[in-house]
Amino acid sequence: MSRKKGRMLEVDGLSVSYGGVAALDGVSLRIPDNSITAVLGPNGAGKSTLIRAIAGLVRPRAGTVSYGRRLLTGMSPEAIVRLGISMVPEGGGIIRELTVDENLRLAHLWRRDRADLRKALDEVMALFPPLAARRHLPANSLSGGERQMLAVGRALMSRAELLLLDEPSLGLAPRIVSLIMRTIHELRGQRGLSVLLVEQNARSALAIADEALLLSSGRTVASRRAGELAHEEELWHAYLGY
Amino acid sequence: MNYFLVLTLTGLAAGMIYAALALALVLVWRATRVVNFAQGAMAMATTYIALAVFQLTGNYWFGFVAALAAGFVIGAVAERGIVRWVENGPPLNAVILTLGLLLILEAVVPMIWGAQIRSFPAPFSIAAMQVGGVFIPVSPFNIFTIGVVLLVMVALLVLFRFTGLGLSMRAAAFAPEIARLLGVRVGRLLTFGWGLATVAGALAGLLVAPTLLLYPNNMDAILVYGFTAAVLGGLDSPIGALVGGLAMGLALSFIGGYLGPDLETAGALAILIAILMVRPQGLFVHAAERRV
Ligand SMILES: Nc1ncnc2c1ncn2[C@@H]1O[C@H](COP(=O)(O)OP(=O)(O)O)[C@@H](O)[C@H]1O
Ligand SMILES: [Mg+2]
Repeated sequence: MSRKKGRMLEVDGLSVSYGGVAALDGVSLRIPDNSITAVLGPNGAGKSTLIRAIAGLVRPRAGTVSYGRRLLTGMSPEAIVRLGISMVPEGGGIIRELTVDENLRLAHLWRRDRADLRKALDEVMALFPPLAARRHLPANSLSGGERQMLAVGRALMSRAELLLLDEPSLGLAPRIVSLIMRTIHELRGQRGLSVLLVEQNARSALAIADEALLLSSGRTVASRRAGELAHEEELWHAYLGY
Repeated sequence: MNYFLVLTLTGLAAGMIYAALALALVLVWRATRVVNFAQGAMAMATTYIALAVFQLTGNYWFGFVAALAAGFVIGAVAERGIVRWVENGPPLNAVILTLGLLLILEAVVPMIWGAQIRSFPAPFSIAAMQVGGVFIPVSPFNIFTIGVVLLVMVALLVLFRFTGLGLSMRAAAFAPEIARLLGVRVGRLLTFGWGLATVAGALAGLLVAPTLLLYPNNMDAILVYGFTAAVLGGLDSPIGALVGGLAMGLALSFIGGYLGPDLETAGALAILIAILMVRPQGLFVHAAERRV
């Protein structure tokens, strides 16, 4: 696989407000190539806002996002995905009216490469075998776990180098959560992907992350090696409330 | 021939025209969630363009193609230049805007071409046929009408079901934000969708004019019939537009034939009101297929 090595995502002093109310206030972070960064925080901390601002869905009030040498701030989502950044929104964002196959193809269309389309489809089916059996069914008919597999698989269809995942474990059974987490970890290891992993499930996320960021009320509370934060249970318990 | 059969056949031919206009409204609705009340006036304008090209070249088909091409351009320009600015505002803004466009077109066209009623050519005879001495209340032009609208329907079905462009258009209609995250250039597709819709509208205009003649508001009633057909079909579904159009064609033909032609417009309004009261989501769309 041809990869441009060493692209880093840099978020610098990012602030977002919705109608004057600050949702994100001066957050900075770096995701080096081939690493997993977990972003933890309670409901309403601004995690989704952070991920949506990086993906180009919301315009920041201040601050910048850059990837490699490119400034992403002000770019459209459809342009950002073309740079190799794929986002999986909260809940997966699968298009229920389309089939599993159509959901997957859609993410590859902009590449205009039919030979690679087949390869990419085969890779996703190999990664998530349950999808292969449901390939021509409406995405609507999938179970919660299968939907999340489809969402992650679809993000991979674009041949992204950086995945932005918004709470992929939300509402899933523990067995599925560990499958998804294991897959994310393997993707980092085998395909050299980088991942921004937003989670409320701190234990699962910290187990596979390299770096971790704890957000609360739109601000960074802690930024550490994931292994260190994993031992500061009282810290994340205080913020995550369990 | 049996009067009922006569009404049925003429109803189906008229229904195909309503279906074409309903299709235009459906394509616009799917793309931008706007009901384009100017769709009929746009079709009227493109039919005047067809007439001008026909008079210039003497060839019906040059006018035909010119109308469809002009339809694409007018639709695309209307979306990009006008509708784009209110798409994210309250729905009423877009409605007022398309009504404004309707008034502008119906004012500007007579300034260019005059307001008098004009006859419009047909590529095939509009007189009823006789086969083996038996009178058949269908003209060759009716058959052309049915064939060309079916052809457009099938072409759209193929586009939506079997092409990447069609997949992108469906995704953009169902989930625009997700589609953008997957690299779909949704903005361009909305423009394209309006262009395509206005081609279907232009076709309706071309099919109406030979029998109902051409004048600046010759499509007003057709817009009401087409809109009713589109609502009947669920507003979201091209197949629904076809079925709705045919149902409208038959209903109006029977109302006109048995109760008197003066009651056709009133009948259409009665049907529209009845649908909106009983099943505002349309007759052919399952709840689960609707966008979230
Ligand atoms: N579209 C929106 N409009 C207004 N406020 C919003 C919107 N999205 C999020 N917010 C607010 O911004 C804050 C951060 O939300 P979000 O980023 O969704 O947090 P998280 O993903 O960490 O739960 C919350 O207070 C939320 O209510
Ligand atoms: Mg969230």
